[in-house]
Amino acid sequence: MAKKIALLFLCLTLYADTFDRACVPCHQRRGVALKPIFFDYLLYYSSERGVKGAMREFLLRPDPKKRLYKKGPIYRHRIDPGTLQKALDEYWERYKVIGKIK
Amino acid sequence: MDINLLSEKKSLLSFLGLYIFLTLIILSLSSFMYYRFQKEIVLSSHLPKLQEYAKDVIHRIRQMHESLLEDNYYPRYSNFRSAIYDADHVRIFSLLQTDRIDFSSVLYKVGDKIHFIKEPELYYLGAKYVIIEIEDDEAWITAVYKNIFTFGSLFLLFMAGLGYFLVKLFLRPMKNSILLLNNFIKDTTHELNTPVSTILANIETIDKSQIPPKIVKKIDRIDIAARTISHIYKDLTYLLLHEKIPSTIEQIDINTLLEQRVEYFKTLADSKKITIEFHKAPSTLKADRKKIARLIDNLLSNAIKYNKLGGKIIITTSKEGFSIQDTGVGIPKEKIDEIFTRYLRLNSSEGGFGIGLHIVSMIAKEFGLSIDIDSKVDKYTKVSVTWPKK
Ligand code: HEC
Repeated sequence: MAKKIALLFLCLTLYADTFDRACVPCHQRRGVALKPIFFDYLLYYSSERGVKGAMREFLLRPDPKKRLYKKGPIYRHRIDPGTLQKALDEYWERYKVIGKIK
Repeated sequence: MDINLLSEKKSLLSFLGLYIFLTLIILSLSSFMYYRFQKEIVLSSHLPKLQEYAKDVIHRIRQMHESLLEDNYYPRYSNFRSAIYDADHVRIFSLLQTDRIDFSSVLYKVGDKIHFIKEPELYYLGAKYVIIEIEDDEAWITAVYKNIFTFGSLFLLFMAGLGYFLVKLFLRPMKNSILLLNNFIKDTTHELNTPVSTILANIETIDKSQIPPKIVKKIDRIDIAARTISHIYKDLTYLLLHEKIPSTIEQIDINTLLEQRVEYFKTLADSKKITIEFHKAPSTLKADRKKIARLIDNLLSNAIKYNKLGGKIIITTSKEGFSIQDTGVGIPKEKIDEIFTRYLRLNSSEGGFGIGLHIVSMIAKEFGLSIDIDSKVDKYTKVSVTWPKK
C-alpha cells in the first residue's frame, strides 16, 4: 500500500515537473514571485483560456505594452512552445481559484 | 323571410370571424405587453438594492483576491445569494439555487428568482460576472393577472358592443333592400289575386255544352294557365306570409281534401291525358286545412309536371298518411338523398321545383309530418306523407 502511494506520488511529481524545473528556480532566484503574477493575469484575463493564452502570447512574443509585471527590465523568456504549454497547464493547476474558495 | 340571404350571411360570418380573431389578437398582444412592462417595472424596482449587493460582493472578492486567496472565505448574506463566473462562463464559485444563468442579459427572472449580473471592471479572482440572486415574491403576477382579467373583460364587452353596432350598420342596407323587395312582392301578389280569381270564376260560369269544342279547348287552356298563376300566387303568399298566418288546427278529412285538390288540377291533368287513380282508406289529420292543401297542391303539381303524356297518378290514403305516385321521369337513386337533403336546405332562390318542395318541407315540419321519396328512373316517383299515430 505504502509502495503504491509512493509510486503515485512519484508519477505525480514526474508529471508535475516541468513547471517546477523550467520556471520556478529562475523566478525564485530573481525574486519574481509567480503567484502574484498569476493573480494579476487572472485580474485581467479571467478565464483559464484567457490567462493561459495571454501568458503564452507574452512569453513567446513579449510586448512591453502588455506587460503586467512592472518591476525590473523586461525578460525575454526562451522556452520552446511545447514545454511552455505543459508548464502553463501546471501553473494554472497550482494557483487556480476554482475549488479553493470556501 | 326566405329571400336568399346565404351569400350575405356568409360574408357577415367571415366578417364576424375576422373581427373576433382580430379582437383576440389585440387582447392577447396587449396582455402580453402589459405583462412584460409590469415585469420590467418590478425588476427595475429591485435594481438599486441589487447594485448595492453586487458592490458588497465585489468588495469582498477584491479583498480575497488581494490576499492571493490566503483569505478564501466567500461572503454569505441572508437576504441574497451570489455567484462568480469567469469570462468563459465557467463557474468559479456559486451559492445560487439555480444554474440557469442568462449571460446575455443584466436583469431577468428565472422561475421565481431574480438574477442581476454585474461585471466588475477588474476580474477579481477571475470573476468576469458577479451574479446576485433574490427571491421574487410574485405578488405582482397575481395583480397583473387580475388586471388583465378585468380590463380584458371590459375590452371584450366593448368590442362586442362595437361588433353588434357594426353588424347592424352592415346589415341595414341589406335589410332595406329586402324590405323593399318584400313589400313589392306583397303588393303585386295581392293585386294579382283579384284578376286571377275573376278569370277563374268567369271560366267556371261558362256553359261548355253551348259552345263549339274548339273554343272549349281554348277556354281549358286559359283555365289551366289561370290555375297555374293562382298556384304560384298561393305559394308566394305562403312563403312571404307563413310566419304571420296563424294556423287554425282542425280535423281534416284527407280524402275529401285530396278529392277537392284533384278536382282543382283536373283540367291540367286532362291536358296531359293523365288519369288519376284514388285508393281510399279512412284518413284524418289534425292540422291547418289551407296549409295541408298547399302541401297537396305542390305534390300534385309536381306529379303532373314531371309525368309523361298519358301517364298515371296513383293516390293512396291510409290511417297514418297518404302517398302520391306518378309515372314520370323519376329521380336517380343517388339523387334522392341529395334532393331530400337539398330540399330541406332549399330556399326560394332555387325557383320552380325547389320552391314547391321547400314549401312541402316547411309545412311538413310545422305539423310533424315525415316525407319519403321512392323513385325509379323513367318509371315512377312516389312521395309518401306520414304522421304519427294518435
Ligand atoms: C531565466 C529566468 C527565467 C525563467 C527560466 C523563467 N522566467 Fe519568467 N520571468 C523572469 C523574469 C526576470 C521576469 C520579470 C521580468 C519580465 O516581466 O519580463 C519574468 C516574468 C514572467 C512573467 C510575467 C510577465 C509579465 O506579464 O510581466 C511570467 C508570466 C513568467 N515570467 C512566466 C514564466 C514561466 C511560465 C516560466 C516557465 C516556463 C518562466 N517564466 C521561466 C525570468 C524567468
